Amino acid sequence: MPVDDDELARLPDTDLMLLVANGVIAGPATELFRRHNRALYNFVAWQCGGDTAAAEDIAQKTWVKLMTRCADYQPRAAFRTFLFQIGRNTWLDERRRAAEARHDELADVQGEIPDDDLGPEAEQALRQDLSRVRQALLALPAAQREVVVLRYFSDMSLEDIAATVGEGFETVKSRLRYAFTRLRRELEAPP
Amino acid sequence: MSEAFERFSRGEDRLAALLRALPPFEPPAAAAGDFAQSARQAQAVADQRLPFTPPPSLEASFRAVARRIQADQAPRQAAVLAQLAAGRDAASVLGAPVTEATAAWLKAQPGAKASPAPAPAPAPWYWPTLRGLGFAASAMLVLVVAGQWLLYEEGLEPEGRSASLPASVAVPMSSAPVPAAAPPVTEGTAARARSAPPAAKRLAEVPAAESIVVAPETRTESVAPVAPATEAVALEQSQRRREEAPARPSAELAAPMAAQGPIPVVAAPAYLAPAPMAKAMPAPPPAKRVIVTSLAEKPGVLVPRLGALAPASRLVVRCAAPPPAEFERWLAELRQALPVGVAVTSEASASLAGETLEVDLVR
Repeated sequence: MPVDDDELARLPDTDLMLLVANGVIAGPATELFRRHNRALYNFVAWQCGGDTAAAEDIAQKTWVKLMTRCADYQPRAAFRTFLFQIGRNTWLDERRRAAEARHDELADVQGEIPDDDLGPEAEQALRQDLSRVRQALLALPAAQREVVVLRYFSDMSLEDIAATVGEGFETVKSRLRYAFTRLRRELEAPP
Repeated sequence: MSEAFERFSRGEDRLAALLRALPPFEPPAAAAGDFAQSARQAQAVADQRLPFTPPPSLEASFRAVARRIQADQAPRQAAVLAQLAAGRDAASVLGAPVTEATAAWLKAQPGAKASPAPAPAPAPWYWPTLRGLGFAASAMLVLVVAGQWLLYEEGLEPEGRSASLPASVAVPMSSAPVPAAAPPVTEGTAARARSAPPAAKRLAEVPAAESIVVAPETRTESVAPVAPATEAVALEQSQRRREEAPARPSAELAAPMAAQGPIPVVAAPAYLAPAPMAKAMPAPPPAKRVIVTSLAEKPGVLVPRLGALAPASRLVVRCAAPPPAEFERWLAELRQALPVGVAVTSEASASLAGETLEVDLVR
Protein backbone atom coordinates (compact mmCIF):
# COMPACT_ATOMS: atom_id res chain seq x y z
CA MET A 1 0.00 0.00 0.00
CA PRO A 2 2.59 2.62 -0.96
CA VAL A 3 0.30 5.64 -1.30
CA ASP A 4 -1.78 4.87 1.78
CA ASP A 5 1.36 4.15 3.80
CA ASP A 6 2.76 7.67 3.46
CA GLU A 7 -0.61 9.29 4.01
CA LEU A 8 -1.25 7.28 7.14
CA ALA A 9 2.15 8.29 8.46
CA ARG A 10 0.85 11.86 8.66
CA LEU A 11 -2.19 11.06 10.78
CA PRO A 12 -1.98 11.53 14.56
CA ASP A 13 -2.10 8.55 16.89
CA THR A 14 -5.51 9.36 18.30
CA ASP A 15 -7.09 9.62 14.85
CA LEU A 16 -5.57 6.31 13.82
CA MET A 17 -6.97 4.72 16.96
CA LEU A 18 -10.40 6.22 16.26
CA LEU A 19 -10.31 4.61 12.84
CA VAL A 20 -9.37 1.27 14.38
CA ALA A 21 -12.15 1.60 16.93
CA ASN A 22 -14.63 2.12 14.10
CA GLY A 23 -13.61 -0.95 12.15
CA VAL A 24 -11.15 0.66 9.72
CA ILE A 25 -8.35 -1.50 10.97
CA ALA A 26 -5.66 -2.80 8.67
CA GLY A 27 -3.88 0.38 7.57
CA PRO A 28 -4.30 2.48 10.74
CA ALA A 29 -3.41 -0.39 13.10
CA THR A 30 -0.34 -1.21 11.06
CA GLU A 31 0.82 2.39 11.25
CA LEU A 32 0.30 2.41 15.04
CA PHE A 33 2.20 -0.84 15.25
CA ARG A 34 5.10 0.63 13.37
CA ARG A 35 5.24 3.65 15.63
CA HIS A 36 4.80 2.04 19.00
CA ASN A 37 5.53 -1.66 18.97
CA ARG A 38 9.20 -1.34 19.84
CA ALA A 39 8.47 0.78 22.89
CA LEU A 40 5.59 -1.49 23.90
CA TYR A 41 7.65 -4.63 23.48
CA ASN A 42 10.51 -3.17 25.46
CA PHE A 43 8.18 -2.19 28.29
CA VAL A 44 6.56 -5.59 28.35
CA ALA A 45 9.93 -7.35 28.19
CA TRP A 46 11.07 -5.52 31.28
CA GLN A 47 7.80 -6.36 32.97
CA CYS A 48 8.46 -10.00 32.20
CA GLY A 49 11.89 -9.82 33.74
CA GLY A 50 13.65 -10.22 30.43
CA ASP A 51 11.58 -13.20 29.29
CA THR A 52 11.38 -12.27 25.60
CA ALA A 53 9.10 -15.16 24.68
CA ALA A 54 6.54 -14.07 27.24
CA ALA A 55 7.02 -10.49 26.10
CA GLU A 56 6.26 -11.40 22.49
CA ASP A 57 3.12 -13.23 23.56
CA ILE A 58 1.90 -10.35 25.68
CA ALA A 59 2.71 -7.77 23.02
CA GLN A 60 0.75 -9.78 20.48
CA LYS A 61 -2.23 -10.06 22.81
CA THR A 62 -2.04 -6.35 23.48
CA TRP A 63 -2.34 -5.50 19.79
CA VAL A 64 -5.18 -7.96 19.34
CA LYS A 65 -7.05 -6.34 22.22
CA LEU A 66 -6.42 -2.93 20.72
CA MET A 67 -7.94 -4.03 17.43
CA THR A 68 -10.91 -5.91 18.83
CA ARG A 69 -11.97 -4.53 22.20
CA CYS A 70 -11.70 -0.81 21.88
CA ALA A 71 -14.84 0.09 20.00
CA ASP A 72 -15.66 2.72 22.61
CA TYR A 73 -12.24 4.40 22.46
CA GLN A 74 -12.24 8.12 23.07
CA PRO A 75 -9.03 10.18 22.86
CA ARG A 76 -8.78 11.23 26.49
CA ALA A 77 -5.06 10.64 26.95
CA ALA A 78 -1.97 10.14 24.84
CA PHE A 79 -2.29 7.07 22.69
CA ARG A 80 0.89 5.55 24.07
CA THR A 81 -0.55 5.76 27.56
CA PHE A 82 -3.64 3.96 26.33
CA LEU A 83 -1.58 1.29 24.58
CA PHE A 84 0.68 0.71 27.54
CA GLN A 85 -2.35 0.41 29.81
CA ILE A 86 -3.60 -2.43 27.69
CA GLY A 87 -0.14 -4.00 27.64
CA ARG A 88 0.23 -3.70 31.36
CA ASN A 89 -3.21 -5.14 32.03
CA THR A 90 -2.44 -8.00 29.70
CA TRP A 91 0.79 -8.64 31.57
CA LEU A 92 -1.06 -8.57 34.87
CA ASP A 93 -3.54 -11.09 33.54
CA GLU A 94 -0.68 -13.43 32.83
CA ARG A 95 0.77 -13.47 36.30
CA ARG A 96 -0.42 -14.00 39.84
CA ARG A 97 -0.71 -10.50 41.19
CA ALA A 98 -1.64 -10.67 44.82
CA ALA A 99 1.36 -12.48 46.29
CA GLU A 100 3.84 -10.47 44.28
CA ALA A 101 2.19 -7.19 45.21
CA ARG A 102 2.35 -7.99 48.91
CA HIS A 103 5.99 -8.87 48.42
CA ASP A 104 6.57 -5.56 46.69
CA GLU A 105 5.13 -3.57 49.58
CA LEU A 106 7.01 -5.43 52.28
CA ALA A 107 10.30 -5.13 50.42
CA ASP A 108 10.23 -1.34 50.49
CA VAL A 109 9.66 -0.52 54.09
CA GLN A 110 13.30 0.16 54.83
CA GLY A 111 16.03 2.08 53.01
CA GLU A 112 17.36 5.60 53.22
CA ILE A 113 17.16 7.77 50.18
CA PRO A 114 20.61 8.86 49.01
CA ASP A 115 21.29 12.58 49.28
CA ASP A 116 23.94 12.86 46.63
CA ASP A 117 24.46 11.75 43.08
CA LEU A 118 26.30 8.66 41.97
CA GLY A 119 30.02 9.38 41.84
CA PRO A 120 31.71 9.86 38.46
CA GLU A 121 34.12 6.97 39.09
CA ALA A 122 31.23 4.68 39.97
CA GLU A 123 29.40 5.75 36.87
CA GLN A 124 32.43 5.09 34.72
CA ALA A 125 32.89 1.65 36.23
CA LEU A 126 29.28 0.77 35.67
CA ARG A 127 29.44 1.93 32.08
CA GLN A 128 32.12 -0.66 31.57
CA ASP A 129 29.77 -3.30 32.96
CA LEU A 130 26.21 -2.35 32.07
CA SER A 131 25.06 -5.87 32.75
CA ARG A 132 25.15 -5.00 36.44
CA VAL A 133 22.79 -2.15 35.79
CA ARG A 134 20.46 -4.44 33.85
CA GLN A 135 20.50 -7.07 36.55
CA ALA A 136 19.80 -4.48 39.20
CA LEU A 137 16.83 -3.24 37.21
CA LEU A 138 15.52 -6.76 36.71
CA ALA A 139 15.84 -7.42 40.42
CA LEU A 140 13.45 -4.61 41.27
CA PRO A 141 9.92 -5.54 42.27
CA ALA A 142 7.69 -5.41 39.23
CA ALA A 143 5.72 -2.36 40.36
CA GLN A 144 8.89 -0.33 40.75
CA ARG A 145 10.52 -1.72 37.64
CA GLU A 146 7.63 -0.70 35.42
CA VAL A 147 7.78 2.87 36.65
CA VAL A 148 11.49 3.06 35.88
CA VAL A 149 10.99 1.49 32.44
CA LEU A 150 8.17 3.83 31.52
CA ARG A 151 10.09 6.84 32.77
CA TYR A 152 13.49 6.17 31.15
CA PHE A 153 12.72 4.02 28.13
CA SER A 154 9.40 5.48 27.04
CA ASP A 155 10.03 9.00 28.32
CA MET A 156 6.69 9.18 30.05
CA SER A 157 6.02 11.85 32.64
CA LEU A 158 5.01 10.74 36.10
CA GLU A 159 1.49 11.90 35.33
CA ASP A 160 1.35 9.72 32.23
CA ILE A 161 2.83 6.82 34.14
CA ALA A 162 0.14 7.23 36.78
CA ALA A 163 -2.51 7.11 34.06
CA THR A 164 -0.88 4.08 32.48
CA VAL A 165 -0.61 2.00 35.64
CA GLY A 166 -3.87 3.21 37.07
CA GLU A 167 -2.40 4.59 40.26
CA GLY A 168 -2.22 8.00 41.84
CA PHE A 169 0.62 10.40 41.12
CA GLU A 170 2.03 10.12 44.65
CA THR A 171 1.96 6.33 44.54
CA VAL A 172 3.91 6.37 41.31
CA LYS A 173 6.39 8.85 42.70
CA SER A 174 6.84 6.69 45.81
CA ARG A 175 7.55 3.65 43.69
CA LEU A 176 10.13 5.60 41.70
CA ARG A 177 11.70 6.75 44.92
CA TYR A 178 11.91 3.20 46.23
CA ALA A 179 13.38 2.08 42.92
CA PHE A 180 15.98 4.85 43.06
CA THR A 181 16.97 3.82 46.57
CA ARG A 182 17.29 0.13 45.72
CA LEU A 183 19.21 0.75 42.49
CA ARG A 184 21.69 3.01 44.20
CA ARG A 185 22.16 0.54 47.01
CA GLU A 186 22.64 -2.35 44.59
CA LEU A 187 24.98 -0.56 42.23
CA GLU A 188 27.13 1.08 44.86
CA ALA A 189 27.72 -2.17 46.68
CA PRO A 190 30.97 -3.92 45.82
CA PRO A 191 30.54 -6.25 42.86
CA MET B 1 12.69 15.37 49.92
CA SER B 2 16.03 14.19 48.61
CA GLU B 3 17.51 16.52 46.00
CA ALA B 4 19.35 13.53 44.52
CA PHE B 5 16.06 11.76 43.96
CA GLU B 6 14.51 14.84 42.42
CA ARG B 7 17.36 15.02 39.91
CA PHE B 8 16.93 11.30 39.23
CA SER B 9 13.20 11.79 38.78
CA ARG B 10 13.86 14.52 36.23
CA GLY B 11 16.33 12.24 34.46
CA GLU B 12 19.25 14.55 35.20
CA ASP B 13 21.54 12.39 37.32
CA ARG B 14 24.14 9.76 36.53
CA LEU B 15 21.93 6.83 37.43
CA ALA B 16 19.33 7.97 34.91
CA ALA B 17 22.07 8.24 32.32
CA LEU B 18 23.21 4.69 33.07
CA LEU B 19 19.68 3.37 32.69
CA ARG B 20 19.32 5.05 29.33
CA ALA B 21 22.64 3.57 28.26
CA LEU B 22 21.48 -0.02 28.73
CA PRO B 23 22.07 -1.93 25.49
CA PRO B 24 19.44 -4.07 23.77
CA PHE B 25 19.24 -7.73 24.75
CA GLU B 26 19.97 -8.82 21.20
CA PRO B 27 20.75 -6.83 18.10
CA PRO B 28 17.72 -6.72 15.89
CA ALA B 29 17.70 -9.08 12.96
CA ALA B 30 17.30 -7.46 9.58
CA ALA B 31 13.58 -6.91 9.34
CA ALA B 32 11.83 -7.61 6.11
CA GLY B 33 9.42 -4.95 5.06
CA ASP B 34 8.50 -2.40 2.51
CA PHE B 35 7.73 0.45 4.83
CA ALA B 36 8.50 4.02 3.99
CA GLN B 37 11.61 4.95 5.94
CA SER B 38 11.68 8.71 5.93
CA ALA B 39 8.76 9.29 8.28
CA ARG B 40 10.18 6.82 10.78
CA GLN B 41 13.84 7.89 10.87
CA ALA B 42 13.39 9.97 13.98
CA GLN B 43 11.46 7.23 15.69
CA ALA B 44 14.15 4.68 14.82
CA VAL B 45 16.85 6.87 16.33
CA ALA B 46 14.86 7.27 19.51
CA ASP B 47 14.29 3.56 19.69
CA GLN B 48 17.98 2.65 19.39
CA ARG B 49 18.46 2.97 23.09
CA LEU B 50 15.71 0.50 23.93
CA PRO B 51 17.29 -2.57 25.45
CA PHE B 52 14.72 -5.05 24.14
CA THR B 53 13.96 -5.34 20.45
CA PRO B 54 10.84 -7.06 19.13
CA PRO B 55 11.53 -10.03 16.89
CA PRO B 56 10.43 -9.93 13.21
CA SER B 57 8.01 -12.78 13.90
CA LEU B 58 5.93 -10.43 16.03
CA GLU B 59 5.39 -8.10 13.10
CA ALA B 60 4.50 -10.97 10.76
CA SER B 61 1.95 -12.41 13.17
CA PHE B 62 0.54 -8.94 13.83
CA ARG B 63 -0.08 -8.38 10.12
CA ALA B 64 -1.82 -11.74 9.76
CA VAL B 65 -4.01 -11.05 12.77
CA ALA B 66 -4.80 -7.53 11.58
CA ARG B 67 -5.97 -8.89 8.23
CA ARG B 68 -8.20 -11.43 9.89
CA ILE B 69 -9.68 -8.90 12.28
CA GLN B 70 -10.23 -6.47 9.42
CA ALA B 71 -12.18 -9.14 7.61
CA ASP B 72 -14.30 -9.74 10.69
CA GLN B 73 -14.92 -6.03 11.01
CA ALA B 74 -15.81 -5.59 7.37
CA PRO B 75 -19.49 -4.75 7.99
CA ARG B 76 -18.58 -2.07 10.55
CA GLN B 77 -16.10 -0.54 8.15
CA ALA B 78 -18.63 -0.66 5.37
CA ALA B 79 -21.18 1.09 7.56
CA VAL B 80 -18.67 3.85 8.41
CA LEU B 81 -17.76 4.39 4.78
CA ALA B 82 -21.39 4.33 3.74
CA GLN B 83 -22.17 7.10 6.20
CA LEU B 84 -19.41 9.18 4.73
CA ALA B 85 -20.69 8.50 1.24
CA ALA B 86 -24.10 9.66 2.42
CA GLY B 87 -22.60 13.02 3.30
CA ARG B 88 -21.94 12.83 7.04
CA ASP B 89 -18.72 14.35 8.30
CA ALA B 90 -15.90 12.22 9.68
CA ALA B 91 -16.12 13.58 13.23
CA SER B 92 -19.74 12.65 13.67
CA VAL B 93 -19.18 9.26 12.11
CA LEU B 94 -16.15 8.40 14.25
CA GLY B 95 -17.55 9.95 17.41
CA ALA B 96 -14.73 12.43 18.03
CA PRO B 97 -13.03 15.31 16.22
CA VAL B 98 -10.31 14.34 13.79
CA THR B 99 -7.78 16.26 11.74
CA GLU B 100 -8.46 17.28 8.18
CA ALA B 101 -5.83 14.84 7.01
CA THR B 102 -7.67 11.99 8.70
CA ALA B 103 -11.00 13.06 7.25
CA ALA B 104 -9.44 13.31 3.81
CA TRP B 105 -7.81 9.88 4.10
CA LEU B 106 -11.09 8.33 5.20
CA LYS B 107 -13.01 9.99 2.38
CA ALA B 108 -10.51 8.64 -0.11
CA GLN B 109 -11.19 5.03 0.87
CA PRO B 110 -13.24 2.88 -1.51
CA GLY B 111 -16.84 2.93 -0.38
CA ALA B 112 -16.68 6.41 1.14
CA LYS B 113 -17.31 8.24 -2.08
CA ALA B 114 -20.91 9.04 -2.99
CA SER B 115 -21.97 6.70 -5.73
CA PRO B 116 -22.73 8.56 -8.91
CA ALA B 117 -26.11 7.95 -10.40
CA PRO B 118 -25.74 4.72 -12.27
CA ALA B 119 -25.35 5.28 -15.94
CA PRO B 120 -28.37 4.04 -17.81
CA ALA B 121 -27.79 0.62 -19.18
CA PRO B 122 -27.13 0.70 -22.88
CA ALA B 123 -30.26 0.16 -24.86
CA PRO B 124 -30.69 -3.37 -26.12
CA TRP B 125 -29.84 -3.82 -29.77
CA TYR B 126 -33.48 -4.30 -30.68
CA TRP B 127 -34.56 -1.00 -29.16
CA PRO B 128 -34.22 1.16 -32.26
CA THR B 129 -36.09 -1.44 -34.23
CA LEU B 130 -38.76 -1.58 -31.59
CA ARG B 131 -39.05 2.15 -31.48
CA GLY B 132 -39.29 2.30 -35.23
CA LEU B 133 -41.98 -0.34 -35.13
CA GLY B 134 -43.69 1.58 -32.42
CA PHE B 135 -43.75 4.70 -34.52
CA ALA B 136 -44.88 2.75 -37.49
CA ALA B 137 -47.58 0.98 -35.53
CA SER B 138 -48.74 4.24 -34.05
CA ALA B 139 -48.81 5.83 -37.44
CA MET B 140 -50.84 2.97 -38.81
CA LEU B 141 -53.24 3.18 -35.94
CA VAL B 142 -53.69 6.85 -36.55
CA LEU B 143 -54.37 6.20 -40.19
CA VAL B 144 -56.86 3.49 -39.29
CA VAL B 145 -58.64 5.70 -36.83
CA ALA B 146 -58.59 8.61 -39.20
CA GLY B 147 -59.89 6.40 -41.94
CA GLN B 148 -62.63 5.05 -39.76
CA TRP B 149 -63.54 8.50 -38.67
CA LEU B 150 -63.74 9.57 -42.23
CA LEU B 151 -65.78 6.54 -43.06
CA TYR B 152 -67.99 7.31 -40.12
CA GLU B 153 -68.41 10.82 -41.32
CA GLU B 154 -69.20 9.48 -44.72
CA GLY B 155 -71.75 7.26 -43.06
CA LEU B 156 -70.05 4.04 -44.05
CA GLU B 157 -69.49 2.82 -40.45
CA PRO B 158 -72.33 2.01 -38.09
CA GLU B 159 -72.85 4.63 -35.46
CA GLY B 160 -71.21 3.97 -32.20
CA ARG B 161 -68.75 1.48 -33.53
CA SER B 162 -65.19 2.52 -33.27
CA ALA B 163 -61.90 0.96 -34.12
CA SER B 164 -60.52 -1.44 -31.63
CA LEU B 165 -57.37 -0.03 -30.20
CA PRO B 166 -54.95 -1.21 -27.66
CA ALA B 167 -56.07 0.41 -24.46
CA SER B 168 -52.55 1.45 -23.58
CA VAL B 169 -52.05 3.62 -26.66
CA ALA B 170 -53.23 7.21 -26.64
CA VAL B 171 -54.80 8.19 -29.93
CA PRO B 172 -54.78 11.84 -30.96
CA MET B 173 -58.09 12.72 -32.58
CA SER B 174 -56.72 14.99 -35.22
CA SER B 175 -55.55 14.89 -38.75
CA ALA B 176 -52.15 16.32 -37.95
CA PRO B 177 -49.13 14.86 -39.71
CA VAL B 178 -48.35 11.43 -38.46
CA PRO B 179 -45.03 12.08 -36.72
CA ALA B 180 -46.44 14.88 -34.62
CA ALA B 181 -49.54 12.94 -33.80
CA ALA B 182 -47.81 9.79 -32.79
CA PRO B 183 -48.01 8.83 -29.14
CA PRO B 184 -45.04 10.42 -27.52
CA VAL B 185 -42.30 7.91 -26.99
CA THR B 186 -40.19 10.38 -25.11
CA GLU B 187 -36.70 9.97 -23.82
CA GLY B 188 -38.21 9.91 -20.40
CA THR B 189 -40.36 6.90 -21.07
CA ALA B 190 -37.57 5.22 -22.95
CA ALA B 191 -35.20 5.92 -20.11
CA ARG B 192 -37.68 4.48 -17.66
CA ALA B 193 -37.86 1.38 -19.77
CA ARG B 194 -34.09 1.23 -20.09
CA SER B 195 -33.33 1.83 -16.42
CA ALA B 196 -32.35 -1.24 -14.51
CA PRO B 197 -35.04 -2.88 -12.43
CA PRO B 198 -34.67 -2.46 -8.67
CA ALA B 199 -32.90 -5.73 -8.03
CA ALA B 200 -30.24 -5.16 -10.65
CA LYS B 201 -29.80 -1.57 -9.50
CA ARG B 202 -29.15 -2.72 -5.94
CA LEU B 203 -26.61 -5.22 -7.18
CA ALA B 204 -24.88 -2.51 -9.15
CA GLU B 205 -24.64 -0.38 -6.02
CA VAL B 206 -23.35 -3.21 -3.89
CA PRO B 207 -19.67 -2.47 -4.50
CA ALA B 208 -20.11 0.99 -3.00
CA ALA B 209 -21.59 -0.39 0.17
CA GLU B 210 -19.57 -3.55 0.32
CA SER B 211 -16.50 -3.52 2.47
CA ILE B 212 -12.96 -3.72 1.22
CA VAL B 213 -12.35 -7.08 2.75
CA VAL B 214 -15.33 -9.33 2.59
CA ALA B 215 -14.79 -12.69 4.22
CA PRO B 216 -12.17 -13.83 6.68
CA GLU B 217 -9.97 -16.70 5.69
CA THR B 218 -11.27 -18.96 8.42
CA ARG B 219 -14.94 -18.58 7.62
CA THR B 220 -16.60 -21.04 5.29
CA GLU B 221 -19.80 -19.12 4.62
CA SER B 222 -19.59 -15.98 2.56
CA VAL B 223 -20.45 -12.58 3.94
CA ALA B 224 -23.33 -11.17 1.95
CA PRO B 225 -23.06 -7.64 0.64
CA VAL B 226 -25.11 -4.97 2.36
CA ALA B 227 -27.73 -3.66 -0.04
CA PRO B 228 -28.70 -0.02 0.14
CA ALA B 229 -32.23 -1.10 0.90
CA THR B 230 -31.02 -2.54 4.22
CA GLU B 231 -28.28 0.00 4.89
CA ALA B 232 -30.39 1.95 7.33
CA VAL B 233 -30.83 -1.22 9.35
CA ALA B 234 -27.14 -2.05 9.06
CA LEU B 235 -26.09 1.42 10.21
CA GLU B 236 -28.40 1.25 13.16
CA GLN B 237 -27.06 -2.12 14.11
CA SER B 238 -23.48 -1.00 13.73
CA GLN B 239 -24.16 1.94 16.04
CA ARG B 240 -25.45 -0.44 18.66
CA ARG B 241 -22.45 -2.65 18.19
CA ARG B 242 -20.13 0.22 18.99
CA GLU B 243 -21.23 -0.18 22.57
CA GLU B 244 -20.11 -3.77 22.63
CA ALA B 245 -16.92 -5.56 21.81
CA PRO B 246 -16.79 -5.87 18.08
CA ALA B 247 -18.34 -9.14 17.07
CA ARG B 248 -18.07 -11.24 13.98
CA PRO B 249 -20.26 -10.19 11.10
CA SER B 250 -23.83 -11.02 11.92
CA ALA B 251 -26.33 -12.67 9.69
CA GLU B 252 -28.61 -9.71 10.48
CA LEU B 253 -26.57 -7.66 8.06
CA ALA B 254 -27.09 -10.09 5.21
CA ALA B 255 -29.11 -8.55 2.45
CA PRO B 256 -32.34 -10.20 1.42
CA MET B 257 -30.77 -10.79 -1.95
CA ALA B 258 -27.86 -12.63 -0.51
CA ALA B 259 -28.82 -15.55 -2.67
CA GLN B 260 -27.56 -13.44 -5.58
CA GLY B 261 -29.72 -14.93 -8.20
CA PRO B 262 -29.34 -14.05 -11.86
CA ILE B 263 -30.02 -10.48 -12.84
CA PRO B 264 -33.48 -10.10 -14.39
CA VAL B 265 -33.70 -9.49 -18.09
CA VAL B 266 -34.73 -6.02 -19.21
CA ALA B 267 -38.06 -6.64 -20.90
CA ALA B 268 -39.54 -4.57 -23.66
CA PRO B 269 -42.06 -1.98 -22.46
CA ALA B 270 -45.54 -3.46 -22.56
CA TYR B 271 -47.39 -0.35 -23.62
CA LEU B 272 -45.66 -0.23 -26.98
CA ALA B 273 -45.39 -3.77 -28.15
CA PRO B 274 -48.24 -6.21 -28.27
CA ALA B 275 -47.58 -9.42 -26.41
CA PRO B 276 -46.72 -11.58 -29.40
CA MET B 277 -44.02 -9.14 -30.47
CA ALA B 278 -42.50 -9.07 -26.99
CA LYS B 279 -42.29 -12.81 -26.91
CA ALA B 280 -40.38 -12.77 -30.14
CA MET B 281 -37.67 -10.54 -28.69
CA PRO B 282 -34.41 -12.34 -28.04
CA ALA B 283 -32.78 -12.24 -24.62
CA PRO B 284 -30.69 -9.15 -23.87
CA PRO B 285 -26.91 -9.32 -23.73
CA PRO B 286 -25.40 -10.94 -20.65
CA ALA B 287 -25.59 -8.88 -17.46
CA LYS B 288 -22.44 -7.64 -15.79
CA ARG B 289 -21.70 -7.91 -12.09
CA VAL B 290 -18.80 -6.62 -10.07
CA ILE B 291 -17.77 -8.06 -6.73
CA VAL B 292 -15.36 -6.25 -4.42
CA THR B 293 -13.03 -8.46 -2.46
CA SER B 294 -9.42 -8.49 -1.32
CA LEU B 295 -6.34 -10.66 -1.16
CA ALA B 296 -7.40 -11.67 2.33
CA GLU B 297 -10.39 -13.57 0.95
CA LYS B 298 -9.40 -17.02 -0.22
CA PRO B 299 -10.42 -17.70 -3.83
CA GLY B 300 -12.07 -20.90 -2.64
CA VAL B 301 -14.41 -18.78 -0.50
CA LEU B 302 -14.97 -16.19 -3.24
CA VAL B 303 -15.92 -18.57 -6.04
CA PRO B 304 -19.28 -19.67 -4.53
CA ARG B 305 -20.23 -16.01 -4.26
CA LEU B 306 -19.89 -15.64 -7.99
CA GLY B 307 -22.84 -17.93 -8.47
CA ALA B 308 -23.22 -20.58 -11.17
CA LEU B 309 -20.61 -19.97 -13.83
CA ALA B 310 -21.12 -21.21 -17.36
CA PRO B 311 -18.06 -22.71 -19.07
CA ALA B 312 -17.93 -19.71 -21.40
CA SER B 313 -17.90 -17.20 -18.54
CA ARG B 314 -15.16 -14.66 -18.32
CA LEU B 315 -13.80 -12.89 -15.24
CA VAL B 316 -11.73 -9.74 -15.17
CA VAL B 317 -9.85 -9.27 -11.89
CA ARG B 318 -8.67 -5.75 -11.15
CA CYS B 319 -6.05 -4.86 -8.59
CA ALA B 320 -4.22 -1.76 -7.43
CA ALA B 321 -1.38 -0.37 -9.48
CA PRO B 322 1.28 -1.64 -9.10
CA PRO B 323 -0.09 -5.09 -8.31
CA PRO B 324 0.47 -6.25 -4.73
CA ALA B 325 3.14 -8.84 -4.20
CA GLU B 326 0.65 -11.64 -3.47
CA PHE B 327 -1.67 -10.85 -6.34
CA GLU B 328 -0.25 -13.35 -8.85
CA ARG B 329 -0.40 -16.17 -6.32
CA TRP B 330 -3.99 -15.25 -5.47
CA LEU B 331 -4.88 -15.17 -9.15
CA ALA B 332 -3.39 -18.63 -9.66
CA GLU B 333 -5.46 -19.97 -6.77
CA LEU B 334 -8.57 -18.38 -8.25
CA ARG B 335 -8.00 -20.08 -11.60
CA GLN B 336 -7.66 -23.42 -9.84
CA ALA B 337 -10.85 -22.86 -7.88
CA LEU B 338 -12.96 -21.90 -10.90
CA PRO B 339 -14.84 -24.40 -13.09
CA VAL B 340 -13.05 -25.61 -16.18
CA GLY B 341 -13.44 -23.27 -19.11
CA VAL B 342 -13.93 -20.06 -17.17
CA ALA B 343 -11.45 -17.51 -18.48
CA VAL B 344 -9.71 -15.12 -16.15
CA THR B 345 -7.81 -12.00 -17.11
CA SER B 346 -6.34 -9.33 -14.88
CA GLU B 347 -5.64 -5.65 -15.07
CA ALA B 348 -4.39 -2.89 -12.81
CA SER B 349 -6.71 -0.08 -11.81
CA ALA B 350 -5.76 3.34 -10.49
CA SER B 351 -9.02 3.50 -8.56
CA LEU B 352 -8.03 0.61 -6.32
CA ALA B 353 -5.55 0.62 -3.45
CA GLY B 354 -3.83 -1.86 -1.21
CA GLU B 355 -5.18 -5.37 -1.32
CA THR B 356 -8.61 -4.42 -2.64
CA LEU B 357 -9.68 -6.35 -5.71
CA GLU B 358 -12.61 -6.14 -8.10
CA VAL B 359 -13.89 -9.24 -9.81
CA ASP B 360 -15.84 -8.29 -12.91
CA LEU B 361 -18.09 -11.12 -14.05
CA VAL B 362 -19.28 -11.35 -17.62
CA ARG B 363 -21.48 -14.39 -17.92
